[in-house]
Amino acid sequence: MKIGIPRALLYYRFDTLWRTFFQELGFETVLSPVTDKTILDEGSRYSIDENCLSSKLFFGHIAVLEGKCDAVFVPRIANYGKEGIMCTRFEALYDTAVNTFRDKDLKFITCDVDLQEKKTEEAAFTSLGIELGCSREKSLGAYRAAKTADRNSQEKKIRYQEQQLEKEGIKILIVGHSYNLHDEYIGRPIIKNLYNLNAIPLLADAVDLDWARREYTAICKDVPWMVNRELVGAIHQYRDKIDGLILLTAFPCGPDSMLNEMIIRRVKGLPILNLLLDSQDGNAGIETRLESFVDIIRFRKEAHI
Amino acid sequence: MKKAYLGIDIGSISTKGVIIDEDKNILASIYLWTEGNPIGASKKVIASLGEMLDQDNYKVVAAGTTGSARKLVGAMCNASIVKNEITAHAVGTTTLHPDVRTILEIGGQDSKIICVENGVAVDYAMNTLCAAGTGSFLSSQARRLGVEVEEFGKIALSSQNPTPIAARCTVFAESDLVHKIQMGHKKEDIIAGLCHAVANNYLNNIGKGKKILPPIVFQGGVSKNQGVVKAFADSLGEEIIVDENGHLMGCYGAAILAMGSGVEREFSFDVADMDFTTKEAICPHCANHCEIICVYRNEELIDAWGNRCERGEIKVGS
Amino acid sequence: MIKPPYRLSYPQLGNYDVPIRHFVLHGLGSDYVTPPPMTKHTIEIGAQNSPDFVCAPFKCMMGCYLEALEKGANVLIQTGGTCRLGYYGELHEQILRDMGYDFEMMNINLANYHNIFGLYKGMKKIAPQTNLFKILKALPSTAKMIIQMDKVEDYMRQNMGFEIHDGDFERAHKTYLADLRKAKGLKDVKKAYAKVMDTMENIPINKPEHPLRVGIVGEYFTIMDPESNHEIEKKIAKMGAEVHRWMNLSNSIVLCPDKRTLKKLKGYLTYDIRKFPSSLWYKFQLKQVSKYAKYDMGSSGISTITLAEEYAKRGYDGLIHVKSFGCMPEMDIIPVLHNISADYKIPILYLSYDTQTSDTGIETRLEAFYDMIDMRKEVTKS
Repeated sequence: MKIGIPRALLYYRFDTLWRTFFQELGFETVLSPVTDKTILDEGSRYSIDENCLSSKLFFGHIAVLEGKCDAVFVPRIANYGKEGIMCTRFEALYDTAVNTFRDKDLKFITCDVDLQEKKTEEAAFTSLGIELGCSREKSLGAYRAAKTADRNSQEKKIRYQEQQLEKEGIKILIVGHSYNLHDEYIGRPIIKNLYNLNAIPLLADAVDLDWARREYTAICKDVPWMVNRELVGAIHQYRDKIDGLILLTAFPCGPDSMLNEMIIRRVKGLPILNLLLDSQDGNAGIETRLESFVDIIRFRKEAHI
Repeated sequence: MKKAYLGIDIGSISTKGVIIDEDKNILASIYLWTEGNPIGASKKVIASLGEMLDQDNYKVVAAGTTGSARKLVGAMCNASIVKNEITAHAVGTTTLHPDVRTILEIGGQDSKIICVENGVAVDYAMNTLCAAGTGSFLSSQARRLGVEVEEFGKIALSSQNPTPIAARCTVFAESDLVHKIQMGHKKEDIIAGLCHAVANNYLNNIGKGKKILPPIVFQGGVSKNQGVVKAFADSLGEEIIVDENGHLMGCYGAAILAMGSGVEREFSFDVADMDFTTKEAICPHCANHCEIICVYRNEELIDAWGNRCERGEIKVGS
Repeated sequence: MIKPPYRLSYPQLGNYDVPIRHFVLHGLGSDYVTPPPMTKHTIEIGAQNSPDFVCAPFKCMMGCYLEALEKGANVLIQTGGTCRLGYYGELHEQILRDMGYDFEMMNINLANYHNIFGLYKGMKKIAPQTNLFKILKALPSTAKMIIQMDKVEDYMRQNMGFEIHDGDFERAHKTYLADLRKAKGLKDVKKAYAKVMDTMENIPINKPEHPLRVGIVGEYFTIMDPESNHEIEKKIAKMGAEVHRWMNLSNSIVLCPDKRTLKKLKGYLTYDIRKFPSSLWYKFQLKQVSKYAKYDMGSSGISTITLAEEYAKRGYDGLIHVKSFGCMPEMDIIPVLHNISADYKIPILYLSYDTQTSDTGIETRLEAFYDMIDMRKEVTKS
């Protein structure tokens, strides 16, 4: 059985976990290609117009998996209990996808992570493995192996970022969801652009996430969303080591619409650039804005010296 | 004396009028710019229709109005029926094209889709209260590009490689357009890109979840733009019918609705010579500050509306 | 720090300021500042002081808080929620503090009060004079008030479109609300209900045997607040339709949707404050719509599709889906609504509101929708 994984949304957070899990169980996985114009167009066709760009891309990535796999994996991830909730988008994602593609030749498999309902990630993946015909032991083993691989990969990301931090130069922390930071149509061009401007981009998802979730309260205290806690925590971790912040948001992201405001009000003294992306076609002037942002930081720095 | 029915469609950009006989044949029709003056435009329309009509043999027994200034003009010409433009368009189009299944429409500020089954509208959707991708949006972009909007279609067809433009939101689209111009994209490619953006934006927004079945009729001001027509044909893979009388569908529908209403009311072409004025009053009773519109004929109050509650009610004759 | 006397306030939501005030006065023994009725001005000042693309309810509530603070409120209440609502409190507080207001925020969300007991402790802080006995005593009359108010409004929605004398129903309703404001206990509440029902049932109406029936579904706040949704219920009713809306405080919070006593009991015992307020009973409804959804889709989503399907099954002529622009849970269930619309051949009008929404735009859409379902009915009849 070939399992399709859309290269969008939570894939960018859980890529190692998901792929290792299926590999350990002996299933082949097919990843949708890197975002391109076709995927964006397909996404706009299938997704509700009001959706954020990242969600639109997700539906595009599913659409191009049609005929290339036996089932598409779309987990339903509602919350991680005390660690926080997910945006309701991820709570609904499986059912939204099934309803959107009802008339298409697409099958979906899912698992349910909902700690408020006592469904842990471990339990979710174990029962998914059983559903796919593997034994409980094998499924549990696969999950544990996947979890270890996931931890290692995160540590690698953290180590790389620490090296970046050692370097001399203008350091800018990009605060955005992983699926925005790493998408070819959203965050990648911005990261590349910053390198071209001789600035060092740091990514808010390459930190010790457990630490970030614990310590985010230094900036604000009632954030319900797990991912936004981590992002705010990352700002707290780096705030004295960086020269500027970029808040990267896909319009009209619900959690970000509020958190960005909070960050701007609570994090004083750091230059902040608020980048709101609607669609790749509409990235007008992003370059100009990045350039002037880096210039301003540079002038500030020179004035200080 | 035979009976005739008048229909007027007063849109944000143009005003259209038609007179039909009892067999729904068009006896007279006219189309002109509203130019921000719905009263003046309607008077001109009525005067011209009066000249065109054979008044010795026909008498207008009922009038219908539609379009954004329907209420105002309805009060002016003592209309039997005042209907919103979606209904009027559906009625007009299904009368002329009884087999139509889908009506696409992009007007000055609104765009809508109407799904038809057996000559009756069964489902419809309208843009979500934003003018992106409509006629006024195209006009303002044409101005920015220094091109007449009427030329848009022809120029668009000459493009080999349309530039992608984001047209979901006017604000995003404008900044994107400016940027693309500065980047040095060719004008015809940008124009073709805009036409594609309008069509795709329409299908992704208004057409979402709707089965677009042929025959498809496309109307509204933007249907005159061949670039957009082609973009629709490409995206849908179907033939797109553009009726040369497409712009008259609203007023035609209003006339048919006036006939169907069964209400016959005194109508006189003399309204074209009367003096109509509107006054705006702000209701002082609460912070809603409702804007109440009062319509006067030769300085006599004939109608008023706009109040949200009875506190702001202005009664005619009081 | 705020010193007593505490003057509590909660943003306007339909007419629910009446029971909330009743509870604060009689249960907590504190003062309640009713925010002025929401107007265009309220929404304007709310939008001015809110982030740009946050959902409209945030902006409306912001406006209410500002007006309530100006009226002398010093304790603002905010509830949690499973969507963005869960973060309203902290951000409202921050913005208002930056504007220089001095007040206490009672943010009833999970992070602050883990359960009912935590909530009680929180209440004691802003109402030191109250006790458990007082609170428990005020609960039945408050609950009754909510349930009966909703019943009255249900009746009104279904009949006001057919009244012979324009305004009869609204007048009766106004008198009822005035009576409720004066109510001191359960007895007064019941008396007011009997009176208004008697009045309403005697209002002359001219209702056809098979009137047009329209069901309204959608997002929690916008659907319940007439000012936010531009009074669509009243507007479509007055065109001549029977309007139905399940979503209200009684159905979403107070009443367990299961009819069986045992299930009901279980429902109350497993009352999950974390799902408050819009997703409390999703487990009961999810079973009904298993054809369309496997899981809770967040916030009011499951209620919306359950009711949409139910109205479709009952053969209603049309549905109106109401939400604020960018509302994530309601956006996520739109593909389900598309499927329901196709399966039951029922037209759905989708309305997405922000604070810029114009009255004319809404009216044109409603009118066209009404005309369409009306003509459709005519044709299928013959």
